[in-house]
Parts: sequence; structure tokens; C-alpha cells
Amino acid sequence: MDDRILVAFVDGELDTEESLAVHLALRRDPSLRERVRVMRESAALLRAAYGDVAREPLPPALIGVIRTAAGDRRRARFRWLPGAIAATVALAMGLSAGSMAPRLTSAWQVPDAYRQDPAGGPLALLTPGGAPEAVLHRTLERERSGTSVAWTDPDSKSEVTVEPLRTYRAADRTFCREYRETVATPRAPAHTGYGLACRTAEGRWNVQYVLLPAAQPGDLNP
Amino acid sequence: MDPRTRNELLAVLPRLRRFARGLVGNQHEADDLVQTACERAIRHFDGWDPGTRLDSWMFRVLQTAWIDRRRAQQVRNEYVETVSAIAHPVVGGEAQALASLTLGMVDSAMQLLPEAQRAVLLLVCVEQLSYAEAAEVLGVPVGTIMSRLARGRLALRRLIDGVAPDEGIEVLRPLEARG
Repeated sequence: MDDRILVAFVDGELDTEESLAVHLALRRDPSLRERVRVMRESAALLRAAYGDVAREPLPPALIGVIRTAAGDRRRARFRWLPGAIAATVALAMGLSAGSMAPRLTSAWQVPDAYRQDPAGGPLALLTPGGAPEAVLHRTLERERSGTSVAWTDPDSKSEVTVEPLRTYRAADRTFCREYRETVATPRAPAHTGYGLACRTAEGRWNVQYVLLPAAQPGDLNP
Repeated sequence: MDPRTRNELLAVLPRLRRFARGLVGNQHEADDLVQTACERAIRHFDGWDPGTRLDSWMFRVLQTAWIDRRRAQQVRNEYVETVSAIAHPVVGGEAQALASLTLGMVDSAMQLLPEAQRAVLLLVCVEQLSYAEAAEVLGVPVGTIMSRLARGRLALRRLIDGVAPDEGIEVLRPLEARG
């Protein structure tokens, strides 16, 4: 039997009649069974070898290419008193990234929630239906890790909560925070995004990416 | 580029990195290739038909960028380099060492396969594209996809068995026995 038919059989690309014919041939011929086994095994080995690559954090340079192309020029609408900034960030650092949390050396760690979800999820730069940029920035700038801030959308009546999860300092000395953003709309089931934002020298919080564990790529935008 | 497309493109990136990783064999070069592909895609974005899948189109852009790169480089024989890379000591638990060694060997064997077979194996076995989708990405008939897949998968197994240095085979055996 042709190896092309065997491989299509292994990959489920044959119709019922063709599959049946292969089944019958396999029953008679041990050498065919061996070939099918090798084809299955090769595919499994490949998935095992490369599977984790898609779950690694994205290099900042790559995200940068796409942000620049998309003309993503986010402006902070809130200005903060310079003296208060250091104090609040230091407070957040002290309380969240203390002895219990592992020391992180890179800003490009995947949030824990993503690691626990082997299927992964689509990446975005915002949580669909999430809080306005100003609310997100204010929360990241002021709130301690584990404290959530609620905001209600006056139009859709959906309730959005933003909660900083962890704070750490990247190798280039910038502060980064992981946060969770949950959107509860009156009619749709609640959804959650896990974001990573880093603070620029000018005091803006740039969202690096948001992971949407349960969502489909089709509904990345509201 | 509108925000929706930008988000879609971001969502494709992890799989694009994985495809590139399998094609070139090391992450540094793979990321460089992904970046080139993204820049090209953005420059020629009008080449994408919004009615079609963005991931398929990006796989195609990346594969083309890769072929161009291979042509530009004077490709050296990387055989010796890849084989010696297999023998690196692995730290960690037994299971981890086993897994890591196996994966290193799969990766090394992949780099020894003809490039056309490598691309098909990655698209179908790892990215789980259908034959029709893979044929579209690579611009070849479905029959060609099938023969490359069959040959590639049988060859991969032979390479893993044959290429492995002695210590590599030692480690591989228990894995086969368990399965």
C-alpha cells in the first residue's frame, strides 16, 4: 500500500470508505502496521519537541515591530505627582514581591495563569470590554498587589475589575506588573484577561500583552 | 493596520515562532526570521485578503522569507555541528533529562531532513493544519504534501535512531520501553 495513503490515514484525511480499506490491509500486514506506528510516533515526537515554543513569552523586539506598525501611540491621560510615584511603587514592590514570590530576572515572564492553561490562549493588547486606559494606569500606579479596583461602564453597565497580581523589576530596571482584568457584562458570561504592563521612564504604563485564556481569536475585540 | 488585525497578528506570533524554530533549529535565528517575516507582512499588508486566514498567510510569508534567506547564505554543511549539539550534558531530574535529550535529538534530526519535508512536517504535525491548508501555505498540490509527509516521517525516525550518539541511544531506550 502507498505510504501516501497510510500517512493520510494516520492524519484522518481519508473518507470512511478509504479508511476502511486501510483498516483491512493493516489487519493482514504487520509491516504496514509498523509503518503506521512510526508515522504516528514521528508526529508525537515533533509535537513534544516543539510544543513549548509557542508557550514561551514573546521577545519584546517582536511585539515592538507590530506595535510600531500599528501606529500604537498610547498617551497617558493621567499625570502623577513625581514624589508619590516612587513611594507607591516601592510599597507595591515591598508587599508583593517579598520573600514568598520567586525573584524574577526578566520582565518577559508569562503570568502564572497562562502557565496553568496548557491550551494557552490568544494574545492581545487589551482585554475586550476592559477598563479605560486611565483606570488601568491609575490602578497599576497606585494599588498594591492583590487589591482590586472596580469600574462600571456607564454605557454597557458591565462591571470591570482590575487587580495587580505581582510586581517586579526587569533587568533594565523598569517596573513591570502583572494584572488580572475581569469583565462582567449583564448579558454575557464574565471573561478575564491576564496582562503584563511595564512602566516607562516617562511614567506611562505600557501594556506588553494580554492573555485571554478562554476566549476565541474571533472575539479579541469588543 | 487596524487594532483588530494587530491583535490577530499578535495572537499568531507564538505559533509563528514555533514554526520558525523548527525550520532553522535555534531560537535566536528563529526570532530573527519571525521579525523579518513580520516586517515584510506589514510592508505588504495589502497582499493579505481579509477574507482568508491570517495565520496561513503569515506561515507563507515566513516560509518565503526563510527560503530567500537560505538562498542568500552560502549554506554550510551543518551536520557536524548539529550532531555534536546532541551530546551536551543535561541537568535536572531523570525524566527532564530524558525529555530534553529526546527533544534535542528530534530537533537535530529535523535539521537534517530536506527543507521541503521539514516545512510540511511542522505545518501538519505540529501546527495541525489540514493537508489542503498546508498545500495552500506552501503553494504545492495536496499530493506533494502527502508524499513529503510520508517520506519525512519515516526518515525522521531513521535519523533519530541513526544519528544518535551512543549515550543518546542509551537514554532513548527506556522511553521506547515505557511506550
